[in-house]
Amino acid sequence: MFRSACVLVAWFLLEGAASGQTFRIPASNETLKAVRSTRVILALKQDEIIADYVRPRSNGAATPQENMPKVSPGFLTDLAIGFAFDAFADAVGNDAISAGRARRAEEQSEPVRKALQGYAFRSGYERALGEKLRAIDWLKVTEIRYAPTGAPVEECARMRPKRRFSS
Amino acid sequence: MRKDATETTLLLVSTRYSLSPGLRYLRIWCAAVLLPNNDTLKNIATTERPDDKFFRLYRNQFLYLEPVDTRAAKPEEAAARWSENNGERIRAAMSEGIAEIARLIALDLQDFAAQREKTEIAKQPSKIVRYARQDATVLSETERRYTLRLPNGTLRSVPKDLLAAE
Repeated sequence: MFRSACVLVAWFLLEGAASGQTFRIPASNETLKAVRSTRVILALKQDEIIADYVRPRSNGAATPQENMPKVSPGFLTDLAIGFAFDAFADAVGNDAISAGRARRAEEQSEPVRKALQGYAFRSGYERALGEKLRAIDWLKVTEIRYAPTGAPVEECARMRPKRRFSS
Repeated sequence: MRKDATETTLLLVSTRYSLSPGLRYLRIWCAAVLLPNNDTLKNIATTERPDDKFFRLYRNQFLYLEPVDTRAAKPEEAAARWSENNGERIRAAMSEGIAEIARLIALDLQDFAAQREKTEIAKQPSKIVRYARQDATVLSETERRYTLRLPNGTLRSVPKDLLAAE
């Protein structure tokens, strides 16, 4: 069942986040009235910070952005957000260029990873979410737990996006 | 996971945290979806969105973004900034990001017509800012950060400096 849940999470990444489309589905009044209890399931497939990198396009050419000699802060913002989604959907490319960039990003970010040793993201996140979600009356949270780590989550992360997300 | 759940709904929250290419930004990204676990709620989902084969009752995405406080830094320099003083800066950003993502999800789950008056959303006048080449609505702001809703409905917590730079 968790596999289905992961596929679902990946699916809504793929099918509605393009700019201009409404991605958000707000909870309706009927839903609010009908909810009697909610279990919160957290999916987090990493234990340390990841360093993203600019991925080449599928034809092997570098992204145009990467070749720009100067980029504006505004562009960087856009890039940062866009790659957050891309990187989630396709964390590591299979080609040599991607592998090289991934390795370089890993090396460059090593001091940050070392500095974060002992930082308890999981427990802090669970606690913060728990506090906020339990305070929502209509949600009626009964339990918050992490999904088991392992194959299903990894599988979701490997799914390639059908198109690039711009926001 | 759902088999042993007796609750009427499941809220799936998928999260990822990373440094951007060039290591200039910390991003904590999150997607949340509410699914029915009984027939009543499944019927509601079917009625509201007949084409949705996943019966989603709620869905949204959230992003916390924080730059390292230096401009045009090389990746090595950015890494050094993040990690100096035993990672004081990256640890502070992570802690802020965790709190911000939790706040954004809670804010969004309470943003519906019947509750609008009670949330921080209604307390702020409508203000539009330009962000990532889009017109974003400011839902709330602090001295340092904006909470933005993008045209596609997703939420962002971003530093004001970043928008000023655009």
